[in-house]
Amino acid sequence: MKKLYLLGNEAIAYGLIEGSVLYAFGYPGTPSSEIIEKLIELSKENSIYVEWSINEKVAYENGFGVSISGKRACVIMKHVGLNVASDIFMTSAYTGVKGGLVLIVADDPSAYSSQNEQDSRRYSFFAKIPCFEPSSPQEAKEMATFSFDFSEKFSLPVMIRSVTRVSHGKSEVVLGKIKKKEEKNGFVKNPFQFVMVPPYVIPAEKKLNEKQRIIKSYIEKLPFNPLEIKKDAKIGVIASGICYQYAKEYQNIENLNFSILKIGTYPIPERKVKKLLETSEKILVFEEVEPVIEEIVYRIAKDTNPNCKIYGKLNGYVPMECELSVEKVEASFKKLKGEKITFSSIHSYSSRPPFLCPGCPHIGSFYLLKKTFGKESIYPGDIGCYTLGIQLGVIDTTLCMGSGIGMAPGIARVEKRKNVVAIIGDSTFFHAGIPGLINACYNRANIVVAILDNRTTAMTGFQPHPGTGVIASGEKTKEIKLKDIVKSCGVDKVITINPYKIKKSLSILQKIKNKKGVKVIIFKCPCVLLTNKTKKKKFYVDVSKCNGCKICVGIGCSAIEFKNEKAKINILCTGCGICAEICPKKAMYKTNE
Amino acid sequence: MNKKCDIVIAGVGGQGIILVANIIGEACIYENLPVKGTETHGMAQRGGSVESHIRIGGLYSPKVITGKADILLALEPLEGARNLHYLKKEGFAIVNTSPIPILNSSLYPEIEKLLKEIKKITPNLIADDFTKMSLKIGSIKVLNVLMLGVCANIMPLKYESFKTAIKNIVKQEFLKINLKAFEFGYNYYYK
Repeated sequence: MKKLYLLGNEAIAYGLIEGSVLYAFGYPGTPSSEIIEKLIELSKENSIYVEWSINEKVAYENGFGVSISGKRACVIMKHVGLNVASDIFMTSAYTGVKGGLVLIVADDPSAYSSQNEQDSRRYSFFAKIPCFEPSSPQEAKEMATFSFDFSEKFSLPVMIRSVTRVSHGKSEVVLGKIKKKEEKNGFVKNPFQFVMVPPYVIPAEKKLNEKQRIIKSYIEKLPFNPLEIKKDAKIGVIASGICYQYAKEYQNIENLNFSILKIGTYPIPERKVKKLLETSEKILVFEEVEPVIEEIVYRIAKDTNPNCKIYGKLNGYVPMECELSVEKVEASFKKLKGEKITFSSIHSYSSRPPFLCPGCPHIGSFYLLKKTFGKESIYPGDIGCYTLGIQLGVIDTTLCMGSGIGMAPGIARVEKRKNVVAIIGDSTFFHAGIPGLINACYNRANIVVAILDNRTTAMTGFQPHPGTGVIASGEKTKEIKLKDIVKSCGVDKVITINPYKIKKSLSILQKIKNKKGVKVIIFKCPCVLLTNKTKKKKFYVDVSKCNGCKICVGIGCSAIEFKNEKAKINILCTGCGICAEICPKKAMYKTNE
Repeated sequence: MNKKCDIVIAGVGGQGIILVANIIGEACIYENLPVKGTETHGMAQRGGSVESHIRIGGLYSPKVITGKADILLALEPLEGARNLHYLKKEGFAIVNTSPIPILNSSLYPEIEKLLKEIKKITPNLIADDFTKMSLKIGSIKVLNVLMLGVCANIMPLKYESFKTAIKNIVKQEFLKINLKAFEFGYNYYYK
């Protein structure tokens, strides 16, 4: 058997292939992106179709289409992506599926790179779609493989909920063989199953509810929920996914005698929970993020062992927010013993937040926007590298994909005297910006929309999108031109400028600044990391000319430092020339080399 | 030899920390040792702090426990100090003394002060300007593998496993210089 050192996400990709997936769809988002990337790498030798879709909803719809045509498909996204896909997700439980349909959702407890830490397990209960939660890369691979059979057995989509520490965790992973499966016939017309008009809804719902009962008992036999009852143990631990590893590690370190039930499936194995409740005086529940299991345990305990005390998030024994750790498990046990928990205070060094890269075209775009519309304008923002513009005071809101354009007219209807400038990236615009823009034009809003078109999905690792003219495999396709779309959304005034050319762009921007209606500015320039074209000629500061006005320092380029009351350009300079264009003293010069 | 070893690697986005972790992980596979690890990068590829944990012989948590790391490998001094709480008393700290400035450079602590903090936890400190050595070898980009070479002496893995891992992971065009850097680091330890 082949053993590799793999990222959880890579292990999932192998697992999907071992489950003989034939089609994969997704939209990039941390911590999920590496699954599709690995599938792309493995796609040729395994002849699977892999696609970066325009957004998560369309990705899910594609996967569903494959499934009801009899083939196996997977759909991959981050947790907030499921909000976008939730519409079809909910009803796909009613219709059921044909070929196995597996949805992989990567949650981000602690919100390391997300706008919230919502718990996707809630969606699984909401939709009545079964869910697996792996505790390690190896188990993630096994669950991914198994999910297809499970999905076909119950004719339901299946969800796998990963978290950052599984998706971005690493370990040795033993690969398996690709399971060959029987071919199902293709799309068969069956409106009773697939057309959810009112008369067909309740029968479908009934079927879905009947499936729940069968799944509940079937899940008891699965290997993903091992129960270890220890002799004379008074405490029982219930831990799901990665939290199981933290609890086991703590048990090993302290050599503690407690029983433990690992949860790897939803619905949870209620008979095993009952058994644990019957043999324990106290139950501790560890899970990330919501008290999903805990709430169910309370319900079961009422009938099984009302004297058993339950400790978890609801009574403050386990933190409600953020990911857990061995240290936090230890703290819960200490609190249970009545000991005070003291988290050793961690240093107070100033942080090193992420920042726009030196030479980033967004630096030019932000400078131009500030210079044209001023500080007092309102800048609804969006999700991407440009969210970092918050450090430059140019991003006033960030909630979800496409929301900047959507909320801008609302703000403008109240703040009539101010300019409202929505800022959105190219990939995000394709993902969720278009309906908002059409709505603004149709309903006669007065807003500016700045599309920061860096020709890629930069934040998540340079995935292509419809505006790039390239598909996931790297092959060429039709480029969907931003400018054409914007025009056909009903925008009268659309201009394209180069954010590196400051003076020229400023004069163009002045002309449209006071026009009524919806104005769109496309700042078109490839991401500095994408082009990898660090120009040989860099810039330096002639100290005799620099008057220390700090205008260049204020643009937010980390290649510009301020030392001894003068600007100084360090080795990070990429030679983009923005600083030279804005320097009032013309103190920046190109190096000769 | 104790085949368990918890390592925290700290630095700044772009320094190649993940590559170092991957080399160690790969070496564990060759020696048939269990291994766990995890990275915290998220938005950090844009020049933010990066920390990578790797646990040779690790069975459960991918994260190193506070105060339990055997080795702290810091490619940047402030990032080393930032992750000092992971290091156990008398653990090994290998620290590059060449700083990468933070945005408000006046808030960057003195290097000597940072090293003093580390010395409070352990006398086993190797601190030097490894950036300078990497430049001498030919590129700042081999800083990561050079420092891994120093560190390799204290890890329960064979020299040959590291070299094979480097050969299998590093891109062909950069292999020669990386092997040179690794050997330099490995021998530096004995100086």
